[in-house]
Amino acid sequence: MDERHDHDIDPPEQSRPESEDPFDPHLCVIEGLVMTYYADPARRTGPLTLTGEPVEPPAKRRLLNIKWMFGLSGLALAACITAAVLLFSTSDAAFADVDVIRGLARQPLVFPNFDPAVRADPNEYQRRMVEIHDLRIRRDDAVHRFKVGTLTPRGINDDLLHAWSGVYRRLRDIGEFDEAGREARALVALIDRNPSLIPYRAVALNDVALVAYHIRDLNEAEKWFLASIQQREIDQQTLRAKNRWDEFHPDALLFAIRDLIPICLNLSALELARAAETTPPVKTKPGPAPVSAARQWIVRAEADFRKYLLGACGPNSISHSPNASVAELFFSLPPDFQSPPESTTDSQVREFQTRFHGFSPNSTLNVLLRRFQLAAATVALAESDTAAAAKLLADGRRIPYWPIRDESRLDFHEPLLAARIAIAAGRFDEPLQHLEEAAQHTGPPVVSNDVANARPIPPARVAELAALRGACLLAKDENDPEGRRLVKESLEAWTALSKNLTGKNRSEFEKQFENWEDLIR
Amino acid sequence: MSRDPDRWYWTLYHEHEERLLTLLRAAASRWRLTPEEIDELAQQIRVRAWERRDTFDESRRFQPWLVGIAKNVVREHVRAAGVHRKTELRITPDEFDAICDAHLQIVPDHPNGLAEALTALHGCLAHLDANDRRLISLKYEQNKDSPQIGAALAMQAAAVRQRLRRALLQLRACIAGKLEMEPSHG
Repeated sequence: MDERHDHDIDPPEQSRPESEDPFDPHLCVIEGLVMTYYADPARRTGPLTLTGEPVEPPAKRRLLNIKWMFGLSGLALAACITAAVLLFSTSDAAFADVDVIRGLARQPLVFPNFDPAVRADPNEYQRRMVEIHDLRIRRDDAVHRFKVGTLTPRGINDDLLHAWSGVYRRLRDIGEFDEAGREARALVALIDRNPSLIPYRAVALNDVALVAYHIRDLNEAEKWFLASIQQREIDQQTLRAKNRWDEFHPDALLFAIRDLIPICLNLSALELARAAETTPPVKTKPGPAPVSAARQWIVRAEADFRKYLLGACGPNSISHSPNASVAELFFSLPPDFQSPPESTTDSQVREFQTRFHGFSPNSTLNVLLRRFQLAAATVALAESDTAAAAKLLADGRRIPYWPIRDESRLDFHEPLLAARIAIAAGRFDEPLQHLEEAAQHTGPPVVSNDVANARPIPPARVAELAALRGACLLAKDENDPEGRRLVKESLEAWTALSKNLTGKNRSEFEKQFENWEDLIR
Repeated sequence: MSRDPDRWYWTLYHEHEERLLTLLRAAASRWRLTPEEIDELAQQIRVRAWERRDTFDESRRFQPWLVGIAKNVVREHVRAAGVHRKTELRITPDEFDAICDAHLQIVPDHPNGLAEALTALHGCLAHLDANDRRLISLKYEQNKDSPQIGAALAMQAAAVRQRLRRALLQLRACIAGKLEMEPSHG
């Protein structure tokens, strides 16, 4: 595999020191400073405090332990006792639960895109298996024609790749994750043996990653996502060299967004899931989760969007603030650019390119920008910055939108995130309207370019709406029977999924729900 | 009302703890310490400093005293490591001493010194090339090793290390400029 080449050349870090450079104590100190800088997310997201210290560094908590170990002075002990008395006399269990609920709202849940009801219904399961069987026959026939050289380029796309991806996506849908993974990897292997299929390699790698991601094998998913990005970058360079585009050519900028940003957003979601695994239980440590890795992918996606939008603004004499956000840059573009037709003909594209100096707006770009805003808002929420999250989401929802162009189901996920943001901010009435809006969009999408993706929102995700509604009720009254029932039923829907996972993936998957279980325990 | 000596000590210690961690992190890559091992070492220094707190002369500065304790603990640690896993050892006591000296030169020795250095670093990172910034982030924020970074950035691991060194050199010069220091060459 291409992405392992460097590993083959260089032994793992554990068996060899990182630096073979001559010893430079000053550089070591700079490294120490950088590590300290990154040890506290607050240093990167806001101004430093006067002392540069986090509000509650881990060391401080250890310090308390040492104090206990060596014995505190009478004064310190008395202070602790007084503080404990004050704590228990001024708070009650309901107040503590509010912190738990706000913490739960900050942590996104990762579910396999799979409906366990399908497996429980023999007729439906059989129908899906027949569908998969038909796709396999179509795929196998296309592979044969490809090998004997009679498959047209269109056939490669439609009969070979489309049918093959249909096979593993449908296998994933019915919970046959191992087989889905094998099918996806087999496609990558075929591509690797046939250089003419290389243009499809990045998509196939991304699909392998998604299968791993859905069974919560995050390390495996990351490996394939990174390989996909690497392939995309190679593809970009090849395309630019072939067309003699510089990096600021409108098409080069557009392809960078279209091809790379979806993977960046996937990696951001992956890092959020990983951060949730390493974050202590929310009830003992409310506050920012270690989501900096997720932000790194948002920063990268934002940089690509910014480069494109600045490119579009520049030659068209559009003024903008130097610190303008990506959304602000977008809204500074002419109305025609912001709201292009749902689909554009070749002549419309040429007309736009003439008017906008090589740039042509398109509805897919709008959907992608809106997806970016959603992902950025999700990261901001995980970092406890509810104000920033709300702004990012609101800006995204102002971007003209065509459901026909959206397979990521923004119509459902945007109101869901709005509800989470409101809960995390401690507003427990507001989420109900957002949850109601999301509930209206749980069916299949209005129209989809690909029927394989025209799936309703999976039941586990729908159960999330009920869980959040229950959490809002429990925030007002920890014994609210309706709230407890809603959370309990959601937990049952979630844990039903885990039966299809094994080993560590299963335990990691179930770990997501521990704090939800505590809520009704 | 008389001062509570223990409380005073811990207040003073806490003011300097982040500096101590920064110092240990400075030795980390040379020494190949994991974050957990850094914490463990910091804990040992914390305990030793507490045991020796009576030896601290209040008329003198706390930081050099604490660094002196750290040097002794590190020396013992290196000696023990030398016995048990000699082949893995990558730092000598002299090198650690040199890092301590460089630390005192770069991070101003007053209560807000570390905050000033980190503020300078914050500004300097913003001036780095976007690719270098990403490299730094992957290495120190996400703790990726060079082959992993190479895979993410489509570079050879050796090139990653070379570029990382250049970025650190840039940061050193920039921080020195911001703190109105002359960069040391060594």
